[in-house]
Amino acid sequence: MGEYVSFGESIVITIFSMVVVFVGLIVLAMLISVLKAVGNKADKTENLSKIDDNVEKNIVKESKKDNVDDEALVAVIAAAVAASLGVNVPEVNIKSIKRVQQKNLVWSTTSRQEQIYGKL
Amino acid sequence: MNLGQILLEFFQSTGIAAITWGQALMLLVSCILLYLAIAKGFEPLLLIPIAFGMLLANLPEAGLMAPPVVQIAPDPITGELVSTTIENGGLLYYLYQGVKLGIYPPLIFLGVGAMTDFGPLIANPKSILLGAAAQLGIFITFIGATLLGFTGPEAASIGIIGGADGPTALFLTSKLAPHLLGPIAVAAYSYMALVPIIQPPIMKALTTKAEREVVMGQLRPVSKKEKIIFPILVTLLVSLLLPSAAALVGMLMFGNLFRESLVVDRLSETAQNELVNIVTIFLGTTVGATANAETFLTVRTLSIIALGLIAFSIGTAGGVLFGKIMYKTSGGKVNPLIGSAGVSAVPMAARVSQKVGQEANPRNFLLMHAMGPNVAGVIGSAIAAGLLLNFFGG
Repeated sequence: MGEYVSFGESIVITIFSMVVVFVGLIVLAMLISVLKAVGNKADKTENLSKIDDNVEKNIVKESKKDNVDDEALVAVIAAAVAASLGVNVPEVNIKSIKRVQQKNLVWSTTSRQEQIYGKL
Repeated sequence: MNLGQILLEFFQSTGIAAITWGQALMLLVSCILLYLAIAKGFEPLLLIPIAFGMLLANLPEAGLMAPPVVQIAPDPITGELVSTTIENGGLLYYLYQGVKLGIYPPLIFLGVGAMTDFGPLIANPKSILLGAAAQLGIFITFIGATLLGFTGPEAASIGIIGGADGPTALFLTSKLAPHLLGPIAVAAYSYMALVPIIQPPIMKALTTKAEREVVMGQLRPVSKKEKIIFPILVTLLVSLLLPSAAALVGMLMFGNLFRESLVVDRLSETAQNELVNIVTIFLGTTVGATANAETFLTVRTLSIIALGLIAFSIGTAGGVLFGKIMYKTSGGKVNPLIGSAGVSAVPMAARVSQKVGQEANPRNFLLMHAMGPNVAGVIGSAIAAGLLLNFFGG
């Protein structure tokens, strides 16, 4: 049923194994740190351009006419944009918020989209 | 043939006539485990299959775990040796081959990988070290078990209980000491259920109130790209360093790639749900079925259960003590309580860190910070298992 190991041998195995576990995971930690540098560099530029696009193309608007609680509205919109882009709120650079004319009802747009997605 | 004779023969064919004391005791043990699983909620998803497998395998005369009987005899005409199957063997014997050949645990790891978010670990790579420190329990217990007269492979299988990772423990034990699968599975899964009871006293004893109160800063968001590269990187690094850990780590990361690639949702869903559930049924039942009276009802089982507890406790202590070192070196930014999560037992151990941290300071939210060492512990245990397999598997 297998060989017996002496106390000395088991100590050696223990020390050797702990060192390997540590070295392996330290190397992994270092590689992840490198990954962070690489991944984030590419990502940051990507995110920023995405945000600019979004702000310019779509969106998001503030109406001066009814001055009701604009700050809260801006905060909500900023949080929503940040959440949908998966970034932190401070990284979102909102230049302006403009209400756009709604051609279709939101509900009908959504239902059309869901029909399309359902068939994919 | 009179009625009395028929009745007597029928009685002799029943299990009641054939049952041994050992089997009766094992049936009792399995009922106690079923009670713990159902009434007390001890890891029921695993303990119910294990306990019921134990019950099935110890039914007298049923032969569910019996291997096939093959006769090899020379053919009377040609004189060649021919093998004839006399008995086919029991159901559980065949299902057990998945454990014996090391197939089920890596499949479970595939599902675990698909369920695990490695984001907290990628966000704070230093927390990986806590996952390494908590493996100390495995090796200290290994030393203890060799001193108690277990052989090297047996001691390694007992030590791995301290990895607090069921599939890893079963994988290693099935390769090194299959005769101990029953007691080791029961010990490993029972202690995992008892993590919320075992860990807090150790954590509190080793830390000061000020250390427990440390509030850690928010983790940085992790990009999709990092999450996709991570499983590939870990597979390459660990498997190149330690080929014997490739089956476990490779499957874990394969499942994680399903999850993070975001393009194979169907595979990810299957791995997380149906696959892992089906394999758990087979794994639990057949691991339980290895526990028969001859191997289970011994003093060694009691020492395995005691050593398992020591392994868990030392692993917890190792993580917390390393957490204290990180607390010092980071200038008080790291809460040492997250170290105990390094033993794996995902996500229970991380929840314990959160709970103990919040007791000390209600504004403390350690859960995500503890998930880093927690998932690192899974990788660390798999590496430790690979190392022990290197030493004793040959």
